[in-house]
Amino acid sequence: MNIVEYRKHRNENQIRTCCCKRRAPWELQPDRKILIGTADKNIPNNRVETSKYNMLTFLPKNSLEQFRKASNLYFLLLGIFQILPPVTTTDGQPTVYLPLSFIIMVSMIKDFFEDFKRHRADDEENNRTVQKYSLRTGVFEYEKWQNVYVGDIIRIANKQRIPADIIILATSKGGECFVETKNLDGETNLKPKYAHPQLQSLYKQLNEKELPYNLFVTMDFERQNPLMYKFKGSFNIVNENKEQPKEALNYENFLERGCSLQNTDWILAVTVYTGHDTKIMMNSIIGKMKYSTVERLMSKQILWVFLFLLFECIFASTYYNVWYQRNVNELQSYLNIDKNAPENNSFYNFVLRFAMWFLLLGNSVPISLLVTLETVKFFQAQMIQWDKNYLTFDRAAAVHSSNLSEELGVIEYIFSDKTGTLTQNIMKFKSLIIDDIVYGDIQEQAYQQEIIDEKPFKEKQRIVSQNVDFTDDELYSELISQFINKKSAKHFSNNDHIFLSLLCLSLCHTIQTELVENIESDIQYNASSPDELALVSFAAEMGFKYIGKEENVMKVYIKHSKEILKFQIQQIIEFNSTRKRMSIVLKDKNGRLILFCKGADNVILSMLQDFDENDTIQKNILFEIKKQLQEYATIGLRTLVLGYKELEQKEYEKFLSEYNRAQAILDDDQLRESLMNQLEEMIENNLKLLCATAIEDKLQDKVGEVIADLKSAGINVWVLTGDKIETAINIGFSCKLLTDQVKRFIIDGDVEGQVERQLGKVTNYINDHPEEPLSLIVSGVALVIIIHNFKEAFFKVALKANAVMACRVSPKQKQEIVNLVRRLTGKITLAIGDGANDVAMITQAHVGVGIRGLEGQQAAKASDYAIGEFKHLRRLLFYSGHESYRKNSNLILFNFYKNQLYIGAFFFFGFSNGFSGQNLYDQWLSQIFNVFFTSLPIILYALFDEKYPNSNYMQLVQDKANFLESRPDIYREYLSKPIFNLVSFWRQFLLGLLQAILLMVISFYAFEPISPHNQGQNSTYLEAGMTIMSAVVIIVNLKVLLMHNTNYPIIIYINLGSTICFILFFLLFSQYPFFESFDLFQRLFECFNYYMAMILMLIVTNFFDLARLRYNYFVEQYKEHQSNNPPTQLEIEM
Amino acid sequence: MSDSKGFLHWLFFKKWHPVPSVGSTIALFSIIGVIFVVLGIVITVINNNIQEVTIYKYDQKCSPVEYNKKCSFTYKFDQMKAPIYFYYELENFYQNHRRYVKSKSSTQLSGEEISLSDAEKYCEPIIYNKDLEEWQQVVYITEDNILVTKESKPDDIASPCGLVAKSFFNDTYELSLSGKKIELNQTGISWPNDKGKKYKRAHDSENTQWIDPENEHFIVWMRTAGLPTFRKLWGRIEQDIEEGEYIIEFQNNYNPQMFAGAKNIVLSTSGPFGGKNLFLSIAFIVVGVIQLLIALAFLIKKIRAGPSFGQKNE
Repeated sequence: MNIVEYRKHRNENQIRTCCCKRRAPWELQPDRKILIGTADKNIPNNRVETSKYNMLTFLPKNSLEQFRKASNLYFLLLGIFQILPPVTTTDGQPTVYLPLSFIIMVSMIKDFFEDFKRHRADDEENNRTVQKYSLRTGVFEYEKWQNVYVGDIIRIANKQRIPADIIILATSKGGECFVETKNLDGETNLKPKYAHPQLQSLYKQLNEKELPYNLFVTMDFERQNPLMYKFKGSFNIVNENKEQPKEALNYENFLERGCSLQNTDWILAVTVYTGHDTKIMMNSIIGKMKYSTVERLMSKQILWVFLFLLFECIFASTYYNVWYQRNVNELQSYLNIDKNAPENNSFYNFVLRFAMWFLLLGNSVPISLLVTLETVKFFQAQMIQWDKNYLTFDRAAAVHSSNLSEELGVIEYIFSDKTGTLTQNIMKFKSLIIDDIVYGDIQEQAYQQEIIDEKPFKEKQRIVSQNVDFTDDELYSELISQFINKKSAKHFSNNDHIFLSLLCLSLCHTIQTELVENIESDIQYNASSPDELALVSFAAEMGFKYIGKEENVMKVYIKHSKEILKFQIQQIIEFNSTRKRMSIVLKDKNGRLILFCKGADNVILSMLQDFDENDTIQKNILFEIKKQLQEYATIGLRTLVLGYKELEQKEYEKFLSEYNRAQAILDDDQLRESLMNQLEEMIENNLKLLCATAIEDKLQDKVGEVIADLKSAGINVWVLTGDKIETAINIGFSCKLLTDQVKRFIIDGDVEGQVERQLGKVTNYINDHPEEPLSLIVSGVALVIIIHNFKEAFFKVALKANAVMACRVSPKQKQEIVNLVRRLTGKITLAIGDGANDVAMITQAHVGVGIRGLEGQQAAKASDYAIGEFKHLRRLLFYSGHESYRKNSNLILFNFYKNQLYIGAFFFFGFSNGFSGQNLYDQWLSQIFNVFFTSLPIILYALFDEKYPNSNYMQLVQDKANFLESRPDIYREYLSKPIFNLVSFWRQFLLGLLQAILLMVISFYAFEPISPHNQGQNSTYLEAGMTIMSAVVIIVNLKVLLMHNTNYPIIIYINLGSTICFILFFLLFSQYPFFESFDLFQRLFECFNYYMAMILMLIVTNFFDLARLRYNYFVEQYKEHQSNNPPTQLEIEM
Repeated sequence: MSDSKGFLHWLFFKKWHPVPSVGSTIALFSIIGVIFVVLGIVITVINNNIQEVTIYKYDQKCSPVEYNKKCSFTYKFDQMKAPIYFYYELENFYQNHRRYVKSKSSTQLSGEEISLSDAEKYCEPIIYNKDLEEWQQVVYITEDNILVTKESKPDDIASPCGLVAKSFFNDTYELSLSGKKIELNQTGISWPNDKGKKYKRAHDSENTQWIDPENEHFIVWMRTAGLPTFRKLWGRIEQDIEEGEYIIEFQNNYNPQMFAGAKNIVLSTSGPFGGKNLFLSIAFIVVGVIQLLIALAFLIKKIRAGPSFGQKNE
């Protein structure tokens, strides 16, 4: 394809020009062809929009959304019934609209602010500026991010963020540059990226001058896709119409939007994916509104309640119709229904009664419940935010989705990130073994550091690095004495293992530094691996300070003799996951060649020089080191073994020429690789053992303890990490997720057959030992294969395993795992993480918890709960979550019970009046029954009740750990026996109905047909009705008090206050002759039967309830007692 | 109270965490159970002292059964102590029917004039005078239940309007023993505050209304009953009556056959808390016994499960 074709080529990406035209999904988009430097305006520009509405569309779009909720629609309908004159119970006023509009308004305001925030964030992103190469002027001009198109050349300066997905064209560092990707994967180390050499040489001049007009570069690359860590493309340089061969571009040349450039003055790059096509955006998940399981179960039950309500209405209207038809002549005498009136039409009559009863019983689905629940959850969220137990560096927990508080009480799966969540992402140098002497104490030292400062060893000159936790002065004093003897470094020979070990530590690495003038001052090391950082920091602390590299010469400053040693780098053989080691060949100033090698212990130990069978000293050393390393591994320390080898000049030259030849093999990748491997192995072989190191991947505070508690609470903890398998296993040990007693299976095959075999092994093991615990470690590559082919088999195994770790997984895979577990088990999941790479799984899980790391807030922002440290998870689940679950469940159950009790009574009243639809209560009082008389006590219950109070007074702000935090078994029990389920829901519902019958019978027979008043006066139907109403108010308020585990005088006052509020309202309504209930209050309160009926009603409801509650309580207590104190033999015999 | 936070703080915010024990539960239920049984017995005793006589279907006692006629019959009463309440009782009359209950205007009954639209809204289907019973269109019933004939315009808004008023029960009774009239006091039979407040005579009542809303029989009728069988107080006998054959003379106006029901007369003495109520006495005793059984169940459970049942765990 020639250049003209590229120019004419249209990348068929439809830009959304009008609302009816949508872009095709990315799978259907064609691969892209561009001309570097020419903006392709067919592809949408770099503008990002995450907001849902704009000023105009907000009202209509959001209102529609509001009424998409079934409950809102229901109440809308109820309001319409309230307006219709023949059926209204409220004089034609749609009273239900008052609470409804409140609910809708609140959620609209919430939506508005959320969208507003999104708008602001979008604007901020879109209006950032970047230098863009202008073809017209031939210079770089500042341009907004949103105006960058695919094909544009941009220049990015040091520390700037990358505006779109780009391919590097040239860098200031000769084709190399460093980026930080913490926004993408949460890792803080710098990663090198490279410009293609041809592009580098072509474009580095663009910085100063224009390119020749007849030089073009065309590029072909894949369509946009959400696959991270992957880029496939190629380019052609067309110079004066001469086409040069196609060159490949890959992930090494690719930078994602969201990274930032570090340690590099500038780079030039071409934009390849923009806006919503960028990797980060394609991986971003639009956070859906999350609802708690309790709430979802409730919504489902509401549907059933609604059906039940319909059934009641149908029953009532049918009953009325039959009754009416049967008694039509008798009723005619006092109801005066015309023969031709529509009431005589059965259908009309049915519809009319149906509407009447629907309205009367409408409260079966209590609108007050929704308001109450929202209020309670809001304040529960506030209480978590106020809670002093969650403070980390004076920052409290933040709750972003308050409607999940009870969900935290029923979590069964936790998916945790590793770096930054379980670990602090700080490697601490712990121990050094030279020969058979172990230096350094592996015990926790962090807290003693300040005190130890007084030790002589901690001299002022020493750098105190956070990467070193080494307080053994023996090594240091040994060094000092050696230096006192030998005066200068040049007097050391290769047999001085301490000297050589430290030299090796300070030289065998790939760390970047900026050279500093003052060698005594602190040096900023930029390490791509935190392990190396720990090693080099340790060497520096011991006085062997690596001060940087100058034209391939590494410099180490020896503090003890105050000299700078220089080594010329000959060759670096880099680390990779199959080699598991790295080597460096150095030439010292005497021209001697030395090879330092460090790597995983099993690898290095197998490459050691053979020694004499009779060399017991060597044998002993090896034995000791192996033993020590084994010990370190079981407590989760990362161990490395270092070796060295003196090289002959000839030997090295021979290696070098062969190595270069091997490297030059371009057409056969496999051959090249294997040849290189062979050569590398050859030169690295026959090492002499130097030393072994142990590094601690520092865990966050109390991680092991918390994980143990979570597991004993019946929660499955899965670790999903981007790290490699070895480190994951180390962490697994150090946080006690893995133990030596539990059989471990690793699935890390990268082809289908291998994975299948490994999986089969685990399956067989499970079939053979169904009771045995096992732990499972799976790699990301294997996971891709598994998800495609063996999903069921794998999850069958994984759900059995008591620890699962997934390594090398991408954010999308993390999300997929969460999603699969969620779908396959139906259990409640929680994802916790701190980095941007965890955002996907955080939004996917039922509950997402973000750790507010030192840097990077994406996870915390996307989360439902943001906490400071992993250990807070325990309180969040065992205390806040558990208590919210218990109380909110009871609140929901209570609300349905309450309304059934209230409404049920006049449903049964229907039997005495042919279900004509007569209200039993004063219509005005009954409107405010839910709001004024019975809602505050249950709200206070849900906020302040505590199962295990830990202070003597009511607290809004908790400041002490709760007893529940130490009781994973209680959490476990609630998991196995949820208090909110189908059975409990309908039990409460029917209990309400049943008790309503009792109330109805008692009150009517206490008042009718006899005359209850002492002057012989009669009663009226309202008297019985208002007796029921006052009984219901007292019963439900008393029930709340009985539900309380902890009582407060203030709550009892408020509880009584609610009842008194009812009495006052009743009294008020009794004053006005206009109301039906005029004078009723005075008549009832001087009536003996009223009190008798009231007492009876209280006893048959609350008291019988109490008996049941107490019985359950005692039985539970008894069971616990039995399990705590198993009966002795004697007791059993008795 | 020893806390430094002060009395008020203690008064409002002190927590307590009650731990129930089996002993207290047993005590609670047995005490309340006993109280209930005792109360039930007391109510039974009181009930037994209340005399209640029901004369079923008194209109059938005259032959032939004719309406809008005076009629009398004799009935043997035992000795009764004052005060004795005289009730009429209707059966199968659904005063609690929605259409019926709603059909009245509170505004009008409290003596104010109402607009036609209000009348239509509240009094459906009895709005105009012509919708009333024929006899109601030509009378005015005074506070003392005396009928005065008068003319009324058929197209005026009926006052009082509505179904409840229209179906006003208008039988009257007289009671005598061997020619000596026994006085039936018909005042104070309604709720004390109803008369003159909720039910108030309109201006120019004689001409515009067909009944004085302050007529207490009317007020009693207007307070609709909750069950289809109901009693309404008609009068009070404020003297002890001796045993004997009494003559009951009544104006037989109300025809129960219209609603396939019955009308009865009930004479009842009064206890300290109103009329006879068998339901309460039975209910109290039953509930009390159940509570005692619950207490017993707890006791048995405790004995069988051993001392650790209901014991606090530490």
